[in-house]
Amino acid sequence: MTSVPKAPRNAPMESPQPDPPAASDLATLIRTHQGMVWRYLRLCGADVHEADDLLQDTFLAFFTRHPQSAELACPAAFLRGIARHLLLASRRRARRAPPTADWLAAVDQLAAADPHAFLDTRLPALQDCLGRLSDRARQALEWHHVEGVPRREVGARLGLGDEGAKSLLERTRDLLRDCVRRRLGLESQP
Amino acid sequence: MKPTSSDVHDRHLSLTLEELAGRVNAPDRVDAILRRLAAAPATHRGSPGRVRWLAAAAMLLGVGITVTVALSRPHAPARESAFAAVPGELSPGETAPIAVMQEPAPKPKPPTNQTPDHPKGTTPADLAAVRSAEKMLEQEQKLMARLREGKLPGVELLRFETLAEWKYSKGLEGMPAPVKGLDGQKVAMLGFMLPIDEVKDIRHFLLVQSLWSCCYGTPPDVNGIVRVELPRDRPTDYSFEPLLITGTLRVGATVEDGYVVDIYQLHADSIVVLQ
Repeated sequence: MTSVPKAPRNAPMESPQPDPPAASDLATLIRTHQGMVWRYLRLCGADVHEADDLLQDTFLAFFTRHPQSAELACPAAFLRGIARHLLLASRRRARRAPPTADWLAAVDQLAAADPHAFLDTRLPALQDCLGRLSDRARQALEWHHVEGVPRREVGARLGLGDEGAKSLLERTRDLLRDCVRRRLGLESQP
Repeated sequence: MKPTSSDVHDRHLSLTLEELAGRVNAPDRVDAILRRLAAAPATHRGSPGRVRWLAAAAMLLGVGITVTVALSRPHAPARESAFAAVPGELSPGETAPIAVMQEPAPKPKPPTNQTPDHPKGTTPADLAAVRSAEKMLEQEQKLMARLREGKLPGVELLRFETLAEWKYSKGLEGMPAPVKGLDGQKVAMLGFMLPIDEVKDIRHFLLVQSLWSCCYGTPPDVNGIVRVELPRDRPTDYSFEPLLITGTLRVGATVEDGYVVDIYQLHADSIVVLQ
């Protein structure tokens, strides 16, 4: 058994870590990515308050466990990884059901396929595309996706059957998705 | 039912539309995060194991202060112990649970509240903290004296030096074979209790060689900590005194949240408070 020399008990702790980044750098990084992390957490299944708490914990973990994290060129995926991990840990501690692995995998697929999926830039693009929809389609979307009105009820309000409402909503979502992708430069204009 | 990508896209659209409709807004937490970073960097530095360690140390300090204040009261009544009192000598391999080795209690020190040479502005909390630190050192000296004097007859001790005399890096990497070979062995260890989550009905705690180092000096590395697990039906309360614990040692990395938090676990058969 090899004996390893030990530091004296009360020796001051060495500080091998580099100087921390300036607060302004941190602020910029947080400002740039906080919306993305929050939306990602929401899609993973966190409610508004849970996402808010975990958003802060994510950045704290990011900065303190990885002192050079502020220098990462593309920290988004790293931040999402921490956020996902914290969400799972938080649910485990609170004995609440965590999001399923399949759901998280599907969310990560979405993030990989659409780099704007959780960014602030998506909002104005979506807003613009909503303005291009017919009133009827926009109303159907709002009822179903924002107010949580069941599809059958949406159909009834619009004088459509369930299948008609389903078809309308699917067409509208497709239109919206294509429009947003064009706006964000993910696909060339037709 | 396995979610489809369509389910995720629908949910994503719903959340984005809610945000556009102003029902919820992505929070701006720049200031809050920077404040938290500035206020408590130490509690967030390092692995969860280190955070857990610091939390345990903070808890111990609180308990230590309380104990010290209680002990420093003149004519304080005898402190009740959660451990059942079992007089007599300790015999090797004894499995009687939770015993106290009876010894004459030391004479209580006179209260030092009125000591005149404390710095100006010293508060009762400061004094209690100082006494807590002094008490820790006193207990450690008592334990070392016992070891030197051989006052633990018949007990083959596993020392912290043995467990920690290799450079810890990750999990069990680099662990010497003789240490690995301790897995499953009946051992006896001396050390101090560091509560993890609770101070009453404790079912598991950390055993450390030195209380002083945990709260005032350099905390030990993961290989300098032993997590003690008590039988579920025999929890105990916090004790400030040195403990002699016998039980079965397990060697294996306990991973929490992706981080190794301990590599030695002692499943206790008996705990003796060395008063």
